[in-house]
Amino acid sequence: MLFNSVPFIFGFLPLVLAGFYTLGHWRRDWAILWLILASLCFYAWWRPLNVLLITPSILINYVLARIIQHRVDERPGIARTALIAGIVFNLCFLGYFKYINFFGVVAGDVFGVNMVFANVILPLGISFITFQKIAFLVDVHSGRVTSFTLKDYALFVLFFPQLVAGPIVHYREMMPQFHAAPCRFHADDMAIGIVLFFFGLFKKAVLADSIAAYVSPLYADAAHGAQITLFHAWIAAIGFMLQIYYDFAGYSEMALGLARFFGVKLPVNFFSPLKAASVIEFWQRWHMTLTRFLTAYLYNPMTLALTRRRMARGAPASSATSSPSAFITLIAFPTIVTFAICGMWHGAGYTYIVWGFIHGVLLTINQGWRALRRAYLPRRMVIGSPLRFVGRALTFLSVVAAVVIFRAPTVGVALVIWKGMIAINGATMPQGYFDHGGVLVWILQTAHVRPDPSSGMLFIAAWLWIAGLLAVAWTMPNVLQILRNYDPALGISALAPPGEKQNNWLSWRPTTAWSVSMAVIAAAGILSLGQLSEFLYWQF
Amino acid sequence: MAGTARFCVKWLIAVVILFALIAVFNIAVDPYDVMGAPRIAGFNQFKVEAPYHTVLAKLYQIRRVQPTTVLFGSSVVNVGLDPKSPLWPAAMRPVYNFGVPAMGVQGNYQALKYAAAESAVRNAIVVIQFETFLASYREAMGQGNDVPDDPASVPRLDDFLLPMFTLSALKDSVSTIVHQRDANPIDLAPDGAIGESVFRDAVARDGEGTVFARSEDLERTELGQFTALHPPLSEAFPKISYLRGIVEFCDAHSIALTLVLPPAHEDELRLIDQAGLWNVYEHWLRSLATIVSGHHGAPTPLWDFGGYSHYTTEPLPVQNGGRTETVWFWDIFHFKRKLGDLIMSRLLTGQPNDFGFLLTPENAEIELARERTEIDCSHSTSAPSTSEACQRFSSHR
Repeated sequence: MLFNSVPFIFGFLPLVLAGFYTLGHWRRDWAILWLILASLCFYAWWRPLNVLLITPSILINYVLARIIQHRVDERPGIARTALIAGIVFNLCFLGYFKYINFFGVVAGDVFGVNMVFANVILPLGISFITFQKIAFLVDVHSGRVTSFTLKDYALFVLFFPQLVAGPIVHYREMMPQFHAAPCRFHADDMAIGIVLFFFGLFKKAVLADSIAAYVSPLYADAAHGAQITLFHAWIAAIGFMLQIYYDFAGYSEMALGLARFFGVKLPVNFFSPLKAASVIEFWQRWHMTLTRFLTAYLYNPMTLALTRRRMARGAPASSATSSPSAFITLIAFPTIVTFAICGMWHGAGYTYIVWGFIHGVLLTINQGWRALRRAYLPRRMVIGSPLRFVGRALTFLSVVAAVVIFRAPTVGVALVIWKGMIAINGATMPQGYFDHGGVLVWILQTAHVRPDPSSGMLFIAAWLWIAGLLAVAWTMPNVLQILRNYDPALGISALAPPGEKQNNWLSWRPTTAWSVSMAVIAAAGILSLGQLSEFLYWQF
Repeated sequence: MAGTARFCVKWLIAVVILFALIAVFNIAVDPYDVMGAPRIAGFNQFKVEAPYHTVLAKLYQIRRVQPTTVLFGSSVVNVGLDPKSPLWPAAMRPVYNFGVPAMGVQGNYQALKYAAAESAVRNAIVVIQFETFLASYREAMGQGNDVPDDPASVPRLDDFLLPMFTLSALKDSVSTIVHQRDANPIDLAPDGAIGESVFRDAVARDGEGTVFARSEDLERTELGQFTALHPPLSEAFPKISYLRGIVEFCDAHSIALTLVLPPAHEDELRLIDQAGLWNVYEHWLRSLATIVSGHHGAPTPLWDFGGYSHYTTEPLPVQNGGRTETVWFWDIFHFKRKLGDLIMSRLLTGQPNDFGFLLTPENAEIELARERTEIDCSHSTSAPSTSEACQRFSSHR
């Protein structure tokens, strides 16, 4: 069941909320059990078999977590073995369902053998669920989680607002909230939830799906062998960047809003990433809980292990930017490996790995630039807004170029679009513009722009959509900033402190004007549900 | 927080009021002609957006029209054949145009069954095109674009909810009102015809050269996809059984069926030949001739207006030439209404007798040989040719 569907908004959600509030009025435990049951139904909606896969996995993880918890002080060896067994089990679970066919394809490409396991179907949200389960085991082992019950753990894994596509949460930030939640109707939570959920729905159903209509045919054309020319290639690249931007922003806000209906705050997951002035900052704003997970459970342990290894070999315990070899070993290598894995986590295919690798390289360049800047440029030259503007432009161009391969079905298709973006396929514009004559034709012909048979109206509409969506992404405050005085998400106070003066006129307040504005936004979102479209991140 | 409960209540009331207002507005405008709301001049007389929801609109229009004669086919029919033409004899009226863009023979078959279930249809004219029979052809089915298999399933709840409660319907309602005063408003008339405004608009916007070039690109793509598939000749037309189904259905329901191969610009034949598919085209024509004569009743008339004629050989518009008006065609597939009138005149009165002929198994080989010679001549139009066929070919121009 999609968040952006009529059955969910008018059937499932009101029913679950009504049950939750009613049962919570009598007994909190019943409300929590109701929520677990509802989450299982939500998960089973696509394929009931999914529940049969996830339930044993939850039980096994729970048993392993119990072993770790009981043995971590007296028998640390057993606890460590249980932790490794749990991580291996979860990775194998993910590997089998998500990557087995891809490994078959790789084996076919390398060894020429035919190994395709056609019947393996990917359970929904498996990548997110796996990361959460691994994080939980590590947290139990490190003592960050000390007490838990099966019911709590099941709710932590299955809580439907973040079950399928995140945010990736920690047990320790969720469970205290569930324990403290009144499990009853609370007007404050309902009001904040409405604002978050319907802003998100609007972004997904009205904005993301609208630009998708211009983008998808270009990738389809490239896949069918068409040469994509300059302006069309940039529509494909920027258009998809904006599509996934509003799609994921919309999903993240809807997830926050849904959790808030139950009195729970999820962590910030998306914070205007196109305003980032560097690729490092981009990843601090885009899919923030994934960045947090990768940093804590992959990048940092890898860097720590590499540092220890260097020191064991006699290298000085200096900073990672003190020498080229330290930079390569302690920054470039772990960054590129982490992001190649990040790419593969997004999807089982060469294109995702290349996308992750590109981001790893971009981040490494960014780290290198920071080190050089600190070493050689005076401080006043690196803080100013002109440099920030250049940084923002370069970051935007980099992530837009990289996202092409994220969307393209094959590396070959991405190459076609990239060639188009640097005008190797030439520059063309709709024939209609040439038929009208005048100065425009002279300019186009002087610039060696040729006519093509595409629709002039669609071409201009695509660029108008791009301009409008970029203007919103670059200049408007995000929903969390609009709601900053009402603590809409975990971690928001650090990003947008309450009472911040900036864009005060757009701060949400429970006024009649905001009621009507939100009704218009909600109506626009709901009225756009005629054509169902999945969230891009649900496929991961 | 003070006032959040009031915020929630006001929000809910505002949402309900908004939905009610939008529904009433959409019902009044009825942008897809589903509800049958009265057409009021200056408000919603021209259904500007309905041509983009043709099947949905036509499922309900035909129930209201209760036609005796129905025209089936793709957009070629929708644009080129006029159900209001004075040529139609009284006994054949009312006439309804069930042409749907990109609809192929399978869709035509379903549309015929639906029309017969909804109305006492006595005459059916089905216009069939070579490309829509190819194994690679994808009919515009799905996404609400298909005629339901079971006519009893109409009316469907969704068909009324979506035109009332979607943002695109609201947008289309506004667009309907805004475009009422256009010089050439696009319209899906109550008799199912779209008319020529769609093409007039495209020509005005993009130029005639572009419109022709786009159709050439489409043809190349269609033929290219078939060539890439390279099925054996026996599997080239997997949906031809639906044509047999149409013939048998009409026979069983006493519906007088006429099949029509529409005129297409000679450029289409040239592209078929260039794609190396001339033998496939000939095989298709032979198969059609066999089907129309192959059942136990009287043979089904199969009129062939394709091939070379005075009309189909008019010069292509120049790409950068602005507004060179062609006389007979909008693009290489879509003939103009004036040529459509000639087709109907030929079907209904027999005139003009130099345009179109009845294709039968007996004359199929002769006609194929003639077309083959003419396509050969078309390759050598720069050099004067002395053969009789080539002289005739030249005389078309």
